Amino acid sequence: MGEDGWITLVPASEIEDGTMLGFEIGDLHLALYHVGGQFHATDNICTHAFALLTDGWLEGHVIECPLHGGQFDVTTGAALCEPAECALKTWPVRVANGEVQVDLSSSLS
Amino acid sequence: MDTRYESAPREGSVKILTGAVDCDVHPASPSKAEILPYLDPYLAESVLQRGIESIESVHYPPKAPITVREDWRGPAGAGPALERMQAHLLDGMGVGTAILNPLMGVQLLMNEDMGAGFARGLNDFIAKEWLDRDDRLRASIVVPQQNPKLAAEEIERMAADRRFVSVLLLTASELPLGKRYYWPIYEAAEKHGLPIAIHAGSMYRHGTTGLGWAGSHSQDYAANGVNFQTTLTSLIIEGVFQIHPGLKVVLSESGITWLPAYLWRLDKGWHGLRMLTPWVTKMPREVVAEHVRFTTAPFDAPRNAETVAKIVDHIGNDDLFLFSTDYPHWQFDGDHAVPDGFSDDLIRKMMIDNPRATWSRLEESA
Repeated sequence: MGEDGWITLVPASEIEDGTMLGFEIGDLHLALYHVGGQFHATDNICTHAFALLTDGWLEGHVIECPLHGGQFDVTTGAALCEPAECALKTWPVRVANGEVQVDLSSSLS
Repeated sequence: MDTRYESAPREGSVKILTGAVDCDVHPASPSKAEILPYLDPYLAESVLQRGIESIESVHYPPKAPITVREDWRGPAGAGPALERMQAHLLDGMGVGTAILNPLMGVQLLMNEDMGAGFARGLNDFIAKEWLDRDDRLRASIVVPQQNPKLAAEEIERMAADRRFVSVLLLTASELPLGKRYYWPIYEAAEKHGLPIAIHAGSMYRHGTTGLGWAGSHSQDYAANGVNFQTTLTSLIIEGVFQIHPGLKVVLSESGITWLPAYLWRLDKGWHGLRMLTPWVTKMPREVVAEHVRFTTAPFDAPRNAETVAKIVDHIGNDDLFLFSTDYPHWQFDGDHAVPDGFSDDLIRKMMIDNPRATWSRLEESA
């Protein structure tokens, strides 16, 4: 991790539009989404129960948890339907030199 | 006359294209005398000692109009039946290749070994008495559906004869056909590049409808459509096509006009409950587009070209159609095998392109 908290996850060319990838960084489980030409990142553990969202289904900007069908907006983290009630934490994302980076500085506090 | 349902028929019938494949045709079932030489000695002895005269499924009662069109009836026996098929269908209507789906009823037998013995005898009979006599004929391998392991063995035995181009199952089995119990059959079929032809019919282990036994043949025949929907749902949702990505299924004598509304419902149900079946990674309609085809007889629709064209548009995929007459079952009058309302493109695809894409062995010479 750089001093400013940004880390590189993956070359942008390796994650097609409409797809997602999961990452484990220390104790953090992150989900990276490529939606409509934009990248977004959230926690990858559903706020309802312990399931990896990247094992679920991404349709547009909505991620559906594979365990109980809870849905979240990947652009805001907002929970969209039961049984999900709590929002996902979102992480700032940027593309620098063709690489997708996420800012984990808030995880250090 | 309600013109939504009736319109003046087109003058003349659609001509069968040169090289057309008729994807569902039925050879006459062999008599006891005809099949005996093809049975293993123990089974042949059993047939004689026990007085087994015939194995006929009530699915097609002998004198029912659906069973044989009146002008297609004639003397019993494979020889006369083949002559009639040649006169009516191959030479008469100009069908280039006919795929035989024998409906002798061996699957109905409660005894698994007897079912397997009759299946072996029937396949050998078809090879000798039908395929050897007209190189325009191909056939599905009949298997003892009572025992998937024995069924897989019969596929292994017959697959070397390249004139056998698919594996025949009946729709209404002992379990829904997507269940793991049947996966040895799909494994063997996929290994040899053989589509599974699932045909209208029943092993009569359960009532003819999902709600129990009906009281008339008209109800039983109508129930076929629902049984096909149940079968298709089972194949898709149990994950047969995930486990066997090379497998193709041909629903035969199933109809196709029920498909749009059925898929709208199944797509919706899968989408809302997909956490229950995570192995099904594609929408059911995508699975159907990739793995499932439908023969065109019967084409259950009003006799109105405009209405038929709308239904074809709802179905939305010309690749799904496989031309069939269902000979000698009575599905049309005269030579009117192709419903009014099919475009020239669709006719060409269903008669020529789609069968060759479905049955890889059709590209091989006899």
